[in-house]
Amino acid sequence: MTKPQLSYFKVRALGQFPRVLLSYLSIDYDNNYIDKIDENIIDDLKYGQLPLYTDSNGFKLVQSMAISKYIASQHDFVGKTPEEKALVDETLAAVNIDVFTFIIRVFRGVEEKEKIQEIIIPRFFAKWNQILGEKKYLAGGNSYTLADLYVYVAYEYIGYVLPFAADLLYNGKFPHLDSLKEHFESNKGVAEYLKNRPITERKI
Amino acid sequence: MSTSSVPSLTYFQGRGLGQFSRVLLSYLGIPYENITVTEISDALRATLPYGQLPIYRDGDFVLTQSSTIARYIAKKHNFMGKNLEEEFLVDQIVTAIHADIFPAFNNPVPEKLQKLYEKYFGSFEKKLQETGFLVGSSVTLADLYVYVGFDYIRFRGEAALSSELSDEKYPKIAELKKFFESNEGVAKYIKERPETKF
Repeated sequence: MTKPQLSYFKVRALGQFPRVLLSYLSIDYDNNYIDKIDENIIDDLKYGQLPLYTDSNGFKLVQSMAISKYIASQHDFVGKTPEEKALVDETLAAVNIDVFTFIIRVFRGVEEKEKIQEIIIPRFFAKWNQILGEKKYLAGGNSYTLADLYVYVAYEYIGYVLPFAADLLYNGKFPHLDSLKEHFESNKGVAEYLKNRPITERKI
Repeated sequence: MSTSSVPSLTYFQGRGLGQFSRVLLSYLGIPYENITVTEISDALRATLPYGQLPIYRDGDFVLTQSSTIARYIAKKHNFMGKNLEEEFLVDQIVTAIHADIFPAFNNPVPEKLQKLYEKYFGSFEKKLQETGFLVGSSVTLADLYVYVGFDYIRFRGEAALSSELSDEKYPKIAELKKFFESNEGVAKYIKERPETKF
């Protein structure tokens, strides 16, 4: 049986979620860095976009959120009950559709950076910090799930792409998010991935 | 707040992001309370996990994010495909509509939007022509999502470049529209929904 493969550009962005997930779950996979989408890969891309995940059985999937949920579902990392699973999904949608999209729009200069402080931090990061303080895990339940991993990746990513946001978020301002970051980064697989990931040309 | 024993969906009076779940609940014949608001009051905002609508309440369980609400309902009613692979092929389409198509026509750049529609709706049309369904061998949330997304863009008019989505260009998606709108629950919902701008 072949190893699963994740194909994405040599940047963090949307590839970061499944890469960190695969590393955290200690899944041996081929991390394919793509320079550009060419004829060798285009036929596999449903909407002409990366990331692309090819499972060991040959099953192909695009859309980073769908990829992450598919992998997490195979490894019992999406919550235990239908309600927990839905709360995981809710968190992922908030990260992917609201927060991540907004970060990129600010990075590209399409959205004013003040909105990070006015909307994104109070509405999302402060909320997640509060939930973690009350329940320890973002989807409730009694263990980490993909929801926690997604919020960690977003928390780490926003400070990387928008350095001004690091001053607003880090250094003890959101202690439960800091603990979450510590949890994931002390994982052997994630630590190794972070140590080996390339410095990218485009800060994205 | 609703005290009803049936689930409730709260959203603005417009179609917007509430449309997916409203059509889904109607199609599946699930009785629900369709609560519409004109604005998010401070009292309401305090009950919303991220200060946003729609919000779905099923007993004590509260859920936001329209795609999450739709998937939760669909999963409960075996409308997400027959196995794990199918479930995530459905998910792939739902995510594409929410994360790629909807944000694009809210901030339209005509040439980009035209290409985007061709890429996505072209892919959906091709799949429907090949197999009759977007995923697997039966109707799923993916089909309903493509119908609602397609129909909504046309409803939004030229601001959303709606003329790009003609029946002639996408005959199979047009058939999908006919299929869903001939469903008793959906037909009733469409007949009774108010005229709105968005």
